[in-house]
Amino acid sequence: MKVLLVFLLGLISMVKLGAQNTIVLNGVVVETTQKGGIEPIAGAIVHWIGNKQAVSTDSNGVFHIPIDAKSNQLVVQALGFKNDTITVNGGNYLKVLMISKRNFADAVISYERKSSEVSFIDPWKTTIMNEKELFKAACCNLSESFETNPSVDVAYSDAITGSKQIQMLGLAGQYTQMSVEQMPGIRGIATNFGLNYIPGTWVNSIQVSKGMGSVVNGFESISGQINVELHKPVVKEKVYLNGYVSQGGRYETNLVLAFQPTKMFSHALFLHGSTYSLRMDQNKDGYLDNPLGEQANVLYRMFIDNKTGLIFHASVQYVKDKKIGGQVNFQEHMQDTATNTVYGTQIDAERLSGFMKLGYVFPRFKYRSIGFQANASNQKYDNYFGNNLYKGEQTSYYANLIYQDIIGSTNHRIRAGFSNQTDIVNEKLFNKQAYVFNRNEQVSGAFTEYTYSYLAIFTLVAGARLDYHNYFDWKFIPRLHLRYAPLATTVFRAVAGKGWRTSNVISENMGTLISTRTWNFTNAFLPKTAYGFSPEEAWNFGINVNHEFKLNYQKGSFGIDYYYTVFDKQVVVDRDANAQQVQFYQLNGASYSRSLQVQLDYQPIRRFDVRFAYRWLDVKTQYNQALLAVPLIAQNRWFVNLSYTTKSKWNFDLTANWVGQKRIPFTQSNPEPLRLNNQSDPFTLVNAQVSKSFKKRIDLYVGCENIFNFQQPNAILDGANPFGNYFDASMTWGPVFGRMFYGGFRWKV
Amino acid sequence: MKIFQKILILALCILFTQSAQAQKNKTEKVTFKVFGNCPQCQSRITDACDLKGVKSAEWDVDTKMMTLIYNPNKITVDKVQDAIAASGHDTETKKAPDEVYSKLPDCCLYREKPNTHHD
Repeated sequence: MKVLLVFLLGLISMVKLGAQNTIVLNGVVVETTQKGGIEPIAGAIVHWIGNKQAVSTDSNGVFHIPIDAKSNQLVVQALGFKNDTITVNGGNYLKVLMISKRNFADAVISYERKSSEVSFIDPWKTTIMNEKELFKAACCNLSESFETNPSVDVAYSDAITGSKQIQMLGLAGQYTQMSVEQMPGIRGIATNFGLNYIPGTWVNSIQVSKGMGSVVNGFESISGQINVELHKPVVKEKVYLNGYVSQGGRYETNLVLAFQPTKMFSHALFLHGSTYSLRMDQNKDGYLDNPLGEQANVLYRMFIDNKTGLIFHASVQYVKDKKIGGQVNFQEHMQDTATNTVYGTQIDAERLSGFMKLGYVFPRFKYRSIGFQANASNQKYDNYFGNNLYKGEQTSYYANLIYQDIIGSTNHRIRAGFSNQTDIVNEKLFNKQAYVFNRNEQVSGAFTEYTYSYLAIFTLVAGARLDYHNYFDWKFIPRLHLRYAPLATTVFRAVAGKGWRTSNVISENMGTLISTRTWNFTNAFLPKTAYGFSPEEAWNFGINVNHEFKLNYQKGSFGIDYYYTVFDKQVVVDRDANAQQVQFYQLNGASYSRSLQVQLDYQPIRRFDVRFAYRWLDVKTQYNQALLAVPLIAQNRWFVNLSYTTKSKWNFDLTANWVGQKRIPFTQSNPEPLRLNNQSDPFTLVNAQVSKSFKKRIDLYVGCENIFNFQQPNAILDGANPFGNYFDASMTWGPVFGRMFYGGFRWKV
Repeated sequence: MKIFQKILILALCILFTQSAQAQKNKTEKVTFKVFGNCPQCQSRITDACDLKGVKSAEWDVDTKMMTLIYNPNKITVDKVQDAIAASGHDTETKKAPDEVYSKLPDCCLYREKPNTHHD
């Protein structure tokens, strides 16, 4: 491949004497070589917009052009490179860094070819999963979208509610900052089940990055961030219909309608309906494998772009989701905490949320912009798990003002602003006794982030934010990202930083309510705290290398990353101290996660993609009794994804995951038959899918999940006595549902 | 730490296989002009070169130059150009059939409005 990037280094020196027409702009036009060096471009044509008088660069790439009083837009043309226009403002010395449009065009194409890839230019390592990648697994909602991504582990919250959660770097989902369109998305009491509220077919792309994110997006990221971009109304497809049916009795329909009545205005309506209607008990344990229930989900969004720099987006979403599970013969009307006859669970969620973004780009200075984002959400839960009852409501408001500019030249960029996050959380828990938790958190802060970039070779992003929390006072966090690409094919990155967050103890451990364990708080009603705890604080350090190569004319990439997260403060969830309890206490000692991942992507034959990955984790926490591995986390995981597309657009996908042993919480104090092994068995999960697309309009797909029909044995401890002392359905380390066939279609007009 | 060693070895293997690949086999490299406009054209053109004997086909949106690496024992440049023309894109020597060309999306109509695509 030839060099991808073109750089224009405009060196402007102003001659102070003389009339205006004697002031000359001096500059140099260069490109980077494959080795990262700089080569001048001779013979490039340079002229001002609206002025035909052009000059060309000499053999050193240098040009001299008289300043034009009527124009500050400089056009540069060079053979083999995209024309570019640069705004030249005053100043004695100005360097202009330009990335050619050609580069972006290439990037777009590579997205079409490779469905998931690691961004090369970003200072943080970001894996972009586009629609093609998401189609590899006929995912129904966001929690199922990461099956082809080795960076994200899927965790099972319990054996009854069918909820899946994600883990990054071996840390539970709540340590990953989830955002939708770069705005706080799923957080607070919705963390656990919130992934179910974004249907997979609404998603346009997902960006996954490990380690600390930008301070601009807040203080909550610890293990990484996942950003979800939904379909934009400004696409060619006006109607997008999707239907899905599975052997498990799951039916889903999604409809996206997009309209663009004028060039400035566009809007879209997203509809989703799904239902689980079959009472399935594949493993014959007397409990439903998946709860019954339905979800209705509506989202409306609009875009206004007046083409003079003002951009406005807004969206509103409403979700109603109800799932009822438990013993096979449980019916909704049987919920009765007094009689203790049939065990049942309910998760009844309702969510209303909206956001708006207003941006203004200064027309004469494209690098200067002001953005304002705001969102509001209300989340309600009315849940029960046998005799454990939970009612929660969270109302949140968020506002963020971001100003972006350069200092002297585009090599030095700065972003700064203010934000406010308000969370009003009211929860009622009944677990052997009644608890009421109310809190009103107000966090206001200011942030600034400086980016220095030297050509495409080196980038430094240094950010810091200072927040004031109405309960916990001042919190300061620094973050640093470095990126160094000595070759056009190799990039090194490093990240270090701090994050903090309030732990939502109940919702993050909702799965443990599906047991007869007694919840044991240290000091639950301490005022001005969350459940008696101060926020969790952690440092995260990471390094990674990414290398692209060509072997036998086919492209491939190889990456290694290593991350170390260490907690200063953490709420420890201890299920080991006592098999009939779950204890929550403040960390006293070490708690860390070490994560190593290697990934290889290669196309040995045209249209045949292979992805291979290995992930190693070491996650330990100091419990009261000892430093122990955090339970239900696999130290080793191997991953293979094979994908083949024929010329006639048949797609064959196969994903295999080998998940190693996980530690199971201590149960040796139970009576003999109710003891579990200390370690789970390793298991292999294989999913396959065949799809065919017709004229790019209709896609049909059929697939099979868990082909080898692996099911966790003994997923529910003492399931025969759900109201006894030993019942526990929260020690889930593997799939509860066995082999499952599914099929569906996608239709775009 | 055994696993670290394994990984290191794997990494080194991958890094060094590249230098070993060198120019082997009986392949030839040619460049020729293909008319088109946008990234959409690019994927259409490179897809058309998905033929037996073609090792690599890369088309540059800006210079309109196709760089083709192929095995002359298995395919001729002429055949590749035929395939490109059949997909709707003119080359210096072959003209795409009008009925195929007229069905291309708006932004790809390079004969009427070359270089319209700038995003």
